[in-house]
Amino acid sequence: MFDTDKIIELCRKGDRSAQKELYERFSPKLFAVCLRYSKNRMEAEDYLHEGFMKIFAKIDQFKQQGPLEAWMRRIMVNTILEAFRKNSRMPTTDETRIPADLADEENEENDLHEHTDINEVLQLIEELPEKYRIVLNLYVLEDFSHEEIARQLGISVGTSKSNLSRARQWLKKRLGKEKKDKITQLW
Amino acid sequence: MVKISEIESLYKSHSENLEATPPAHVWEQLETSLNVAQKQKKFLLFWQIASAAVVAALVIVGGHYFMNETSTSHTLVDSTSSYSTEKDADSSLQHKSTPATELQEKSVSNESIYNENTADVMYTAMAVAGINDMETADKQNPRPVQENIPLLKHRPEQKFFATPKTEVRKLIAHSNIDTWKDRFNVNQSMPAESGNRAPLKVQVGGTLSPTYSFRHTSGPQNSVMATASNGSFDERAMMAAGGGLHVNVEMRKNWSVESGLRFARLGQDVHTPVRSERVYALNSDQASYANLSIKSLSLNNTMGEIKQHQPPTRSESDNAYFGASPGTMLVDFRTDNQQTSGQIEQMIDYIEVPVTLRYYLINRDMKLSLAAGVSTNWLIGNNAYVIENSNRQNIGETAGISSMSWSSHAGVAFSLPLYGSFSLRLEPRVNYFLSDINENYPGRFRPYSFGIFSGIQYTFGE
Repeated sequence: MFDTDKIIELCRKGDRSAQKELYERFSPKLFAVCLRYSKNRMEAEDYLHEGFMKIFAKIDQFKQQGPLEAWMRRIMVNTILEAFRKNSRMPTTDETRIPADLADEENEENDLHEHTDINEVLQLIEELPEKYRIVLNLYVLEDFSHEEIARQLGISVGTSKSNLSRARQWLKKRLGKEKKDKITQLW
Repeated sequence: MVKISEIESLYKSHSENLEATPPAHVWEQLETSLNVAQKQKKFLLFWQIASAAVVAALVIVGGHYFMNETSTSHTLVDSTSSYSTEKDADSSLQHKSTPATELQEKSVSNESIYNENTADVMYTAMAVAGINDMETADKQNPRPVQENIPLLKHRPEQKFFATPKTEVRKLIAHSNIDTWKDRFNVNQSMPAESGNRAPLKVQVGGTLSPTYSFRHTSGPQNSVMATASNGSFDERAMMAAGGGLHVNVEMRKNWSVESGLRFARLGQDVHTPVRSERVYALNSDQASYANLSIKSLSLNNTMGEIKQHQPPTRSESDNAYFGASPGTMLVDFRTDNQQTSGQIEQMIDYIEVPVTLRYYLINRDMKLSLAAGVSTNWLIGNNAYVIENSNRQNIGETAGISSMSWSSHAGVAFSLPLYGSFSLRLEPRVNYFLSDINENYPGRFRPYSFGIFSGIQYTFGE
């Protein structure tokens, strides 16, 4: 068992056992990242494979100025976005049809229950249409700005904003509906 | 009440700690890819070294040639006459003890032998020619001799290094040897000029050809057929293109060695049935239908299994799916099946470094030669395409293709002079792989190719 610095040093030399150690340490978290952006597990496995190939190829460029995990995660996300661009899986939405009231919805209160179950939220996010889910994940989980999302996905800033708004609207609608269904069941 | 932003924070904090263990085969595939990448890195290093070596060889060969070329006018006679000048000069000088000795002493001690005493230099020349008793005559009348040897001018940059023997050579080199022979009846027992080492001939050129590529198969074919999901396929030869640069060095009479760099594309066309399935599903929630189109075809054949870049995808109407609520009741379902024919192109690209031995049956202006040799083949491309309804799509690569393979080649080359040192070369050539190209299926697939390579070459040293 090596410490992280030693692993990085050995990985730079192409040491296979160090590469395996690095993979075993970080693949569970990175696979979870891949799953969030994938349609199915097979696709996520491909992203993980490609992402780690890039990580091993670029490990020389890691300057140890920040956490290794964040650096690897960034490469993984960029790999996924690159695949989206290659396969023309860009999330698009007709901006002209964005409802006017979506703009200020971030501050809008929802009639959600105080104790919203995280599993319900995860379930619903998983069911989100892909074009909404990608933008929501990049904005919320990766802390991407709309400008960055637009640049990475090759879409306009307006499309990014509208997709995020629609994702939120979709979530609110479903979360509200889930709550009503539960109340109906109690009756 | 909860804001949506709080839901998002909850989602973020939960996701940061989320873990999912990937299946074990992901690491195995990753390890295989890392091995391939490592080999490619080594190949890149080899490529750089090989390129540097080829450039260095060209510089050395070119330098050698040009040195020969530039020194020919000075040393042609010099070298051919060296036998007589050294031997005869020595013996003659010994016979003519007084002047020759004086001359030697002068030439060593006196720096200004050229400009101060031209006649002494002439003694040396005469001594070489085996002339006796010329001392007095020449000393008395040196002027005409000096006029007959106009190149014997003052050359201060050479006088420090001048020795009697080198001066003798220079004298002879700058004189008309035939005149000397005729006039003084010199016994020219030296080897003839034609008996010397022939100037090195180097041909540098490039050739291109359309190539016919197919394979020799061996080993169990049934296993391949069994794994093919659609039962049968038809493998056919592929037409591609190849070519490269060559450097041919004529080593001895009628023999030469050739090397260079070539691009070679090999592979096959596979015609296989394509099963198209179309699924319609109607849901009650939005009164819309989902439309799935699934196409399947065999990706396994004698060359190997095609590994797709992306997992199989399906086209679907996202309105129906994404708009539908979970648990929507399926009210109608219908499936259409049809079978069409599809084509897969499996291509592997190599950079070939050949070493070829060539024997010239005819070695004149027009040349006819037989060639045979071996090559190392470095994989630079591996692609599989599906062609259907005039659409060509890159779907992946053939798994397990070795990054380096060995092949043999043989050919017959015709070379016709064009202009100056340029010539046209035409060479029908066959190429057959000696090693397995697919590590997963040893011995099952050995490609061969045929092409008529034509191009231009330039000859140095003619």
